[in-house]
Amino acid sequence: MSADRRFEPQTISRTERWGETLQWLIEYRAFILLAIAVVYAVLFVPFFATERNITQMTTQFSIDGIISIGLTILMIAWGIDLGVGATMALGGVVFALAQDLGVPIAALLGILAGACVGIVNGFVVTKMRVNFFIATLSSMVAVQGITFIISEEMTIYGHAEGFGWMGSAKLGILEFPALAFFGIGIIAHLIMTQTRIGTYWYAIGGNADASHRAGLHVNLLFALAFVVAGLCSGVAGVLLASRSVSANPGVGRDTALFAISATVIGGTSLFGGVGNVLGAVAGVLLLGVIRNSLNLLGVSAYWQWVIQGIILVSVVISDVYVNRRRRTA
Amino acid sequence: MESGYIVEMKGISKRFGSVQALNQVDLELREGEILGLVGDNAAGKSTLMKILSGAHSADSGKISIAGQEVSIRDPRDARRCGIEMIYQDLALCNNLDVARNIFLGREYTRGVSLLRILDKKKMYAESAALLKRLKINISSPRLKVERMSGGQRQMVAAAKAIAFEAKILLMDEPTAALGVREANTLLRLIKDLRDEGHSIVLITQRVPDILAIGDRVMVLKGGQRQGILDVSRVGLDDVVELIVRGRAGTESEEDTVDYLSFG
Ligand SMILES: Nc1ncnc2c1ncn2[C@@H]1O[C@H](COP(=O)(O)OP(=O)(O)OP(=O)(O)O)[C@@H](O)[C@H]1O
Ligand SMILES: [Mg+2]
Repeated sequence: MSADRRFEPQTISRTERWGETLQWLIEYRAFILLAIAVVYAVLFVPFFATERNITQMTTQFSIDGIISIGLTILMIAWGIDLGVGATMALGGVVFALAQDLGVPIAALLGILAGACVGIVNGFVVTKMRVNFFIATLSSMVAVQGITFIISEEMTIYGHAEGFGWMGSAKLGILEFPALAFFGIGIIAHLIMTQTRIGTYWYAIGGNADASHRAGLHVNLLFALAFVVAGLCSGVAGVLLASRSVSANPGVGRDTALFAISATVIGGTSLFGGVGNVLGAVAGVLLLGVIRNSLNLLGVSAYWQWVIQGIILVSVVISDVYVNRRRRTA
Repeated sequence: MESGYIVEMKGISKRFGSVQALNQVDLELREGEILGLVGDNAAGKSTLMKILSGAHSADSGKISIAGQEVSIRDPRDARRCGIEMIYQDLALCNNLDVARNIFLGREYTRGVSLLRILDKKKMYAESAALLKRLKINISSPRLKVERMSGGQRQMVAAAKAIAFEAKILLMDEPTAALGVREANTLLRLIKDLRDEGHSIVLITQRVPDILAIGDRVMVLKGGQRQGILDVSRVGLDDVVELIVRGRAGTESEEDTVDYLSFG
């Protein structure tokens, strides 16, 4: 262990400058790609830049987008939750079942149901020491089962006064879900950059052992990150149910794919410790614009799957590339 | 403080699977001294200090701080006892900047308890001052640790331990990755810290360093203590002899066989 390495002089070679530029491009890829996609869509996609389309599109991606924000925080802490879609369905069903208690209380219960799933996930992962892929995959199946049981396999319609308000209230051209998405995005960004717990989530994702030795409650922090993901899924479920004035127990099957794609495009690493909420917001907008444009252009759903798969794979490859650079640096 | 020791470890044993890393080891650290801890690779030096810093827990043994028996179950306990450690593997979060690493676990904050806001301005200012005081060649505390050289990272780890004026400092090969000039700067700093009243355990492979700045030196071999020597009364050869051969003459038959088998 007595390698006699000296301080390296801080001169920057040409290859390093190239690497620097590449790093920068990769780090801000979501914003760059988003700008390109928007310009392209405005110029070449008919009806894209109409008020109605923008309202519809933003509401659509916002609900999944809220889940992306929760996942971003969880992935920075080096976790993942594959069951976010199932948790979203549960949140919606609980909201609809409880609607006779009044919409505000029902909404709160739907959100809390999501948080409870997060608590269970956090407990199983940290106390039982189950790998988080397995843990959240199992809890996803269980949550789906619970959702179908309590809804008796039926779509529950909203009849309470104000049930649909959250899904349709409008400010300017943005509906409530879009406002909630941007609001939650800003709050999450501030938490991750300005608060102590945000730094702690980065720390445990970067080096859990060092965090422990620095006195952090690593397990508690990790479990809390699962709760955040569950909470966001619950919020998304309530908003989705409100918007469609009904809760369908079978929704959310592609949610995890969309949310993870958006998060990783936004610069969050699958290897923990790296990522940012604003990038994830840009990633959500980017995927939303692409999905909307493909719909407007009449591209079939199957081709859309192919395209989404290609996007995810290329994003994951770039993530692996960046991380290999970082870990050997 | 009846014993006169700031730290007293008694009968510390630790086993990892089939490896007996420490076997009934005692250690006494006097207040305001630099105690060198030396020994071959795998002698158990890091393990002994990690037990004191709360990173590992001992299978058996007792620890007293200033005469009071304490139980150190995790790093928070150790910090409460005024113990701070520079780890051999540095224990830095590469994805965080220098200031966040230095302050990890004791950030300056303001505001409500649940969502404490970081006082970044204060943290950056104090980190910058610390880098300057330790003559660390890093241009800004806002730089992330991941792009730094081994020597720079080593100095960040040192700054992290020194920043909070802990009364007991454990340093696990803090000069290993440093160049000659940087190593000398750090050694001088360690001496200054001792003169200010800190009590220091310094693990190193460079015995001459200990002879230059240390007060006493303790030798470990195969997880067993071979002895503590007064630096003023020994030379390099005596220490090296003890590291290589163990405590000649005083050991039991069994031990002799052990040494032979070690080559
Ligand atoms: N976490 C661990 N798990 C398993 N074995 C360990 C662990 N830590 C240390 N050991 C073993 O315990 C023994 C003592 O290791 P330790 O790191 O304390 O030695 P050391 O004296 O610090 O050596 P070095 O000079 O190489 O740093 C070694 O045989 C090592 O393999
Ligand atoms: Mg060691």
